[in-house]
Amino acid sequence: MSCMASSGLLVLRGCGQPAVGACSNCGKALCMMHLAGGTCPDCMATSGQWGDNEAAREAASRNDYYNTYGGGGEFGSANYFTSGQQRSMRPGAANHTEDDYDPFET
Amino acid sequence: MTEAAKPYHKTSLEQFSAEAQAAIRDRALTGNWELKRLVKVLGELAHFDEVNEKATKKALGWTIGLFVGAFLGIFAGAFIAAGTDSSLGFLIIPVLLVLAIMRLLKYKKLKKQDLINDFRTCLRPALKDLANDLDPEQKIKVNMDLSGPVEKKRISKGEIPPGRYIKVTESIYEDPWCEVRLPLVDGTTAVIQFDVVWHELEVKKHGRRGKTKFKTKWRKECTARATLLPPASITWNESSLRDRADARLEKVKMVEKDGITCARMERYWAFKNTGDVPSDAPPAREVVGLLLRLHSAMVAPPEVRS
Repeated sequence: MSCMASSGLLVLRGCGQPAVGACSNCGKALCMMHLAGGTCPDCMATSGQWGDNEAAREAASRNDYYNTYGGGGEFGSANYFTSGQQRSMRPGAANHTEDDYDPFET
Repeated sequence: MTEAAKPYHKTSLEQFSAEAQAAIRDRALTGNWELKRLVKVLGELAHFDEVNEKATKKALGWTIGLFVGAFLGIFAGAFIAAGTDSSLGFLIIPVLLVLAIMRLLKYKKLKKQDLINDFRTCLRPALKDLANDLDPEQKIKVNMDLSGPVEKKRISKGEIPPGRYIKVTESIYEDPWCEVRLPLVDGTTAVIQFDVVWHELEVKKHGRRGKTKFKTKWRKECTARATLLPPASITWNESSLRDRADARLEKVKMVEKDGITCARMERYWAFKNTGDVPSDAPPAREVVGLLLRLHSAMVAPPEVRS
């Protein structure tokens, strides 16, 4: 199983590294690097407690951009982000179940 | 054991890398760069510019203070001369004048080294935000002129209707200061161009007590132009892109390049200041926002290569 942590801002994609565990909050499969904080970067970003975790800071910045520039539904109008990805961008996304989100869904 | 990092506190050039030193001397940065190296050199330039700005302000403060001191020295000299029957007290005036001129020369030298702030307040943070979208195998093509509004960029100078002032002379400088080509991980190339038009208004006016006063006002008109060049022909959701543009400040245009349709978005900002050039620059987030909207308007974006 591959790590499901997101990477990038314009080109949103999965990390793709082999998963070694899961996020203690949302259960998302994570690689060694993204598991470092215990929860996935998106959960850390949502909770606002990322400290010096670079991946969580990136996730928080990404959420901020998507919220400002019409994330969620509007991005979907260009058929770019999948419905799973759109859900993950919304505030409170950390509460979704693992089945809701598949970054490799096409 | 590693050597402790030397603290940056002076503008002496030896503390910077060779590339940064060359950029400071030329007030320009060009070539093909790896992201990490580029961000590091821009960081060095940012540090230099911040320290140089503080030193410039300090030198100006000293210059004004010393000239004022020299003027007050006339009265101090007269006071001392009256009390001691010696004109030695007047020696303070040439001493202060020489010091003031030395500080003035230093101020002018520092001012000549000043770099446009936009690279550190806008471009560098934008590059950091986009870092994970860039193809690490490809280099970033950079062409930056950091000199700001200098004589060679002046395109016109002339009087304009003065309105409530006595005389207003306007100088206009065209400054297309930056073009960066960013290779993205999906093979798309993002091009960001920054153009600045500087308006310098030299105003002659009546003061409150009827004296004639001079003032310089600046207006900085910035345009950021973001273009996405996909590696192969793709379909754009143009209507969605136009819907998401702020019609007051932004323009959307589809352009043809080598038979491929590319999308372009422009955004405009204006800043004003009195005395010195405006130090404000377009916010990095708004520039990245242009690319974000452009990229999400690709109906079927290219596959990620790496």
